[in-house]
Amino acid sequence: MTRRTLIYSALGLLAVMTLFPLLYMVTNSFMGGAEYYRYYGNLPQGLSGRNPMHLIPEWITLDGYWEILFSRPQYLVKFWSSLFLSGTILAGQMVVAVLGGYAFARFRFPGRNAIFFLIILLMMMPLQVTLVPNYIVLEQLGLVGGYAAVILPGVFSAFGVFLMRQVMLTLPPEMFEAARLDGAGSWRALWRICLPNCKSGLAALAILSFADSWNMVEQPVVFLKDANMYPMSVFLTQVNAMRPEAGFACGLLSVAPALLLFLRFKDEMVMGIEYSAVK
Amino acid sequence: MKRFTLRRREALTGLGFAAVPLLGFAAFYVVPFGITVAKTLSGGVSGFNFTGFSNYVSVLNSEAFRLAAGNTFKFIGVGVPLLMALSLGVALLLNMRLRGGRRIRGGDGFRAAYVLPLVLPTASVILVFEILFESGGAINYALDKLGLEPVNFLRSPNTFWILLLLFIWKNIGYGIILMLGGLVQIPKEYYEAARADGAGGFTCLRRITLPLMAPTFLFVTVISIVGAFKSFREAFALAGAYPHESIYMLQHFMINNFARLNYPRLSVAAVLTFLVIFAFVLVLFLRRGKGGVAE
Repeated sequence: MTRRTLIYSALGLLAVMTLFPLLYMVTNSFMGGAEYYRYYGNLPQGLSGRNPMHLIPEWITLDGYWEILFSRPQYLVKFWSSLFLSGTILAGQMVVAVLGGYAFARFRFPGRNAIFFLIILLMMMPLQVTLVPNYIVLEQLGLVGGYAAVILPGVFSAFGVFLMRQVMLTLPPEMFEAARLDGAGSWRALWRICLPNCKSGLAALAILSFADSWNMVEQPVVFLKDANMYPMSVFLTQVNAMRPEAGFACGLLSVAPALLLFLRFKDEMVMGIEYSAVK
Repeated sequence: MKRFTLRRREALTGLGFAAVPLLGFAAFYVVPFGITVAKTLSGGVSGFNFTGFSNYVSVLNSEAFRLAAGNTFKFIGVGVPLLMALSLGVALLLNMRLRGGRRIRGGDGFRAAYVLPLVLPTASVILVFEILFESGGAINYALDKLGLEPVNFLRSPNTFWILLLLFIWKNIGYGIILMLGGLVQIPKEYYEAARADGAGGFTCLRRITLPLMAPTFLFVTVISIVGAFKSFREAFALAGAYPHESIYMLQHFMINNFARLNYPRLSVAAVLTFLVIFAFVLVLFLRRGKGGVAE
């Protein structure tokens, strides 16, 4: 009994730690401006004699939500440009990842191992290593300053190709053999056999990719010239740009899309991540 | 002859599917990287004036670069093993059988909870971490109440550990899921046989679990290093472009040199980072026969 309690407490404690920030944002998003200042106004200055940890607001208001949804348009504008960027990147990444993963998982061709080595290398490379090279090419193509400059390099994700290859390798070869004997070509096998059987892998890729591009800061700052075009992720780092009581509500607005995807596909995501490790 | 053509057809089809991704990787990563290498060997703002390795010498001698490289190594060297140990520990707990052979209940819920931080945008949750760790934050308030000295978490050598905590908070779920995926694949019979021979829990862990988990460890290492490099976003959200020197990373060095239009320095840092990762991936790849990442 005690051992059991101990295990559940340890697991539960970690769950509290991973869930806490989101929970805190939800409750605090109903806080008004004055209360916000009273508790968080002088955090960097030092102790104020008051515990800033403040889970339940004293006075529940919808001011923050009013501010971001109706009062001023900039929050929603940022939201939609983020959604546009992440959605487009996601769609492109899925196509690239499925094509690449299929090629590496199911076909032998000269240079396959060398190219796959390159893909792992790309996957591990920190973004900053390729940021300037990217910039140079985008400038040559005349794309710097437009959303295409952020979208195009994002679409070619080495991680996506890697993940889909891993997922497709778990499918039994007999399945494809049977499809071939039935006269299905490679495209048909991809559509009818392969993709319906990697739904969890696709869901995992979708949510990981979406969360990643929704979060991007460096690419928009470097590739977009006009600050008005910056997505939500950059806007959120410019704290002075918004009224403080809107901070939590705005944070939640920016959490919402990824969170909804997550709540819908969390089991698939877990399965997809699991698959990614199986050879 | 038939065999030959079949192979050829397979190769052509495979390359056909790979064509779009490969062209994209070439256009946005491989070719530009070639340009970057050329830039490191050249001086001045424009044109190509061959200057040998003087840019490398200058960067390697610069204090900012040494600090950044040292911090990045330290962050990965401490953070990745720590993350792996913690996620293995939690995975072992989740995989444990209680008395009577019953499994832990709510395992799916726990896993989903642990992986949630991965999808939360950094910038939106950073405020919560500031409320916890700022000078006047909740933890210092608690320390003060206990009669202890307040700690400077965000602008001191401690910042390194706060960033490490954020890294673990964000990535532990991914690690746990991968570790658990490896654990459930170990046949139960191995443990039963070992138990029958009188082996204790610790011996089982050392002789069965750890060796058989080697491929999983390798993969978690790769994913964790990718995650560790992404921790720059947390560092940036927490402290901006010029943070305390304990979390001044290679990415800060590169971004700041970009802002100052100092492309040769930036390119040298990029190429050096590339070389280190290249060496690491090469080792992984050559080991793949022994259960590596790219089997």
